[in-house]
This record gives sequence, C-alpha cells and structure tokens, in this order.
Amino acid sequence: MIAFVVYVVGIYLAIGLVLAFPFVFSWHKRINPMTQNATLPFRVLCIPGTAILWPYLLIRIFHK
Amino acid sequence: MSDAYRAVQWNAHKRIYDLIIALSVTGFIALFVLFGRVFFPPPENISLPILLIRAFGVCAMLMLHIILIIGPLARITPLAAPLLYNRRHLGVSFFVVALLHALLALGFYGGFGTENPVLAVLDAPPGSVPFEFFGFLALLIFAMMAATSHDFWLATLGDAWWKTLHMLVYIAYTLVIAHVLFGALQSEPNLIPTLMLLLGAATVLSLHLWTGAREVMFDFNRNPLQLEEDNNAEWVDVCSVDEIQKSRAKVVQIEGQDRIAIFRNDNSLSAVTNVCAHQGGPLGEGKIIDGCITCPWHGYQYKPDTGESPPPYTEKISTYEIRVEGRRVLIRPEPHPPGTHVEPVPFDPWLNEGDSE
Ligand code: FES
Repeated sequence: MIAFVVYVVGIYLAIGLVLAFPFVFSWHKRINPMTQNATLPFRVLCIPGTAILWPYLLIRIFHK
Repeated sequence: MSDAYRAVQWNAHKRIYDLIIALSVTGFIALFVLFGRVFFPPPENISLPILLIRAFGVCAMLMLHIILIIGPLARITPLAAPLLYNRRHLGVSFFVVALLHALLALGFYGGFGTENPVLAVLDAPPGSVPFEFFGFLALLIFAMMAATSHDFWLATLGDAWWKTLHMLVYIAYTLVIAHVLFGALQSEPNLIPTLMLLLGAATVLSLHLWTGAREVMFDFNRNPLQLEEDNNAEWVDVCSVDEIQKSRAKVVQIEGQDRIAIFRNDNSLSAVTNVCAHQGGPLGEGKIIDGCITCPWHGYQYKPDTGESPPPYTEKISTYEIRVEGRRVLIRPEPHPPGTHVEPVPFDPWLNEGDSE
C-alpha cells in the first residue's frame, strides 16, 4: 500500500516536472496574463507549484 | 501586491524578518547539536546524523507551532501583528527545515542500501504504526503549501480554492503530531517531550477556539446596527468620532452588510470595507502608514479616499459615503464599487460633545 502511494506520487510529480517547463515559460500567460513580463527567478519559483497542480492547470487551459 | 510578478517581494521589514528567521534557525540547530554533544558524551554518544535529524525535526515542530498560533494571537493582541506580516516567509522556511529533517532521515536510514531509500524508510514492519508515512504525507501537504504560497497562485487558483488548499495545514499538523507521538517519542524514556508536544497542541487548539468564539460573539452579540425604516436607510449612525484613534479604525457592522472600517487619517474620516482584497485580512485591525491604510496581514496598502492601492499596484477595495454630525459618525450602508473616490470628511478633534449640539 505504502509502496503504491509512493510510486503514484513519484510518477505524478515526474509528469508535472516535465510539463512545468512549457507552463512556466509559455502556457501560464494564457491563464494569467500578468506572467508575461515575469522575471526568470519567478518562473523558476513557479516550477514546484506547477509540477503539483498540473492537472488543474491543464484543465484551465483547455477550458479556454 | 501585483504589478509584474517577481520571485520575492522584499522590503526592509521583510528582510529583517527573514534575517531573524535564518539566524534563529541556525542558532537553534547549533545549540541543539552542542547540547546533545555535551549531555550525551561517549559511550552513549548520539551520532551526529541522528542529532541533526532531531535538531531539524524539533526546530520544524517549533516553527510549525509558531506559524499556527500567529493568526489567532494577532486577533487577540496587536503585539503579534509584526509576526503575522511575513508569515508566508516563515512558512516556506519551516518547509525547508522540515525537508532537511526528512532528507537527513532518508539518507541515514535508507541510503546506500539495495532497496529504494524512500520505501526502505517508509515501509514499517507489520503490526507497527507507520509513523514515517504520516510524516511523508504531512511533508507532501507542506510542499504543496510552500510551492503555492506566492501571490501568483492566489490569483491563479482564486481566493476560495487557495484558502481551501492552505487549510490542509490542519490535517498536516495532525499527521505531524501522530508522526512524533508514534515515532520519536516511543523510544523516549523522559515524559517531558511528550508533555511539551501535548501542551503545544493544546495551545494551538485553544487559541483557535478562543478567537473563533470571539468572532461568533462579534457577529451575534454586538447587534448589528439596524437600518432605520423611516429614512430609507439612507444614513446609519455608527459611532462617535472620539471612539476612533488617530491612524486607526473602528470596525462597525450594519445589518445585512459586510463589516466596515472607519479610518481616521489626521483629522478626517474615511470608510472602506473591512475585507482586504488580498486574502480577506481584517483591514480595520491595521493602521494608516504613509497616508495609506495598511493591512495587518501582509501589508497591502490602500488610499483611504479611493480604496485603491498606490501605483504601480492595482488592488482596489470598496468605499462608503460618510458624514459627521457634531460628534456622531454616519454611514450610508451601500458600498461603492471598489476604487470609487469618496472625499474624506474632516472633523474638529478639539470640539467637545456638548459644543456640537
Ligand atoms: S495583505 Fe494579505 S490579507 Fe491583506
């Protein structure tokens, strides 16, 4: 059971990490235009949050 | 406050706050290790990695308790307001300390084996309480909170979702209590650490219950000011000018409306909503700094006459029509749209109650 949870969390975060890069460098501005002129450190800071919330963010983009 | 996103929005106050956090954490870890070395000399010497794991764990527990009591404490005494102002940075620092505790434990107990180190640490023997797993789940929640603590996430997720997400801290806190109770404290012959843990939990719980009860009392006991039928509820007499201290506010509640904060800036009054546009902080518990209403929670500022944040920021709050008759303050209960200009109303602070009649 514990192993199952750990692997699911690991896979989920790995997918999120891969998706985080297009998000922070381009896709975020479709949801929040204020990120257009955001600084590089800010984009890097957004990577963990994006890796965690990627399904929600994908839904927001496709909904638009 | 929002203009263009930056990684960290530091100001002089926040830099000092962060410096104090860094120095306190470093000092605590150093002292903990030093005391461990002095009080547990060889042969029952506790090894350095274990001392460090415990030092980071205890430090994280202390920080978590401080974070959880700052909110209710600030409702009770304004002395706690400076702590609340930058709680977010304290929260992220806490996560870093908790993560270091977890990484050290992972390296020490699970490293260099043939098994996946995470599973090696988390897999409890059959029949025992999986306290490491409780800690792991709590750490996941704290990671999510730290990762989404920036205002960008508040704007992206919306107020309600963001708050719901961050309310998970109470589940994480319960998991942490279980993690410590079924973990480190099981092998602890001394009762003091267990009592301290229970005392901490009781403090967090009672402060939350106390301030929660006070809020309920405010809403139900203080009889919201009634609208008067005979004058079409045009103006409501809410208080005397003498009840409002300089650069501070009086919070009033009119039936069917949100709370309103009436601020005194020098010798004029302005009324705005009591709800901050950032995270709903109680503006009326803040004060006027540099001519702006300053929220006690994270320092967002608004001009008293328009409810707008000073440029380049763009937040806005609702304003209300206000009037002074003699010493009495009257308010029109319908809010203006956020950012609407309402001329502040001057009054004579030296006039006595009787002089005005
Ligand atoms: S500044 Fe954050 S709630 Fe007001």
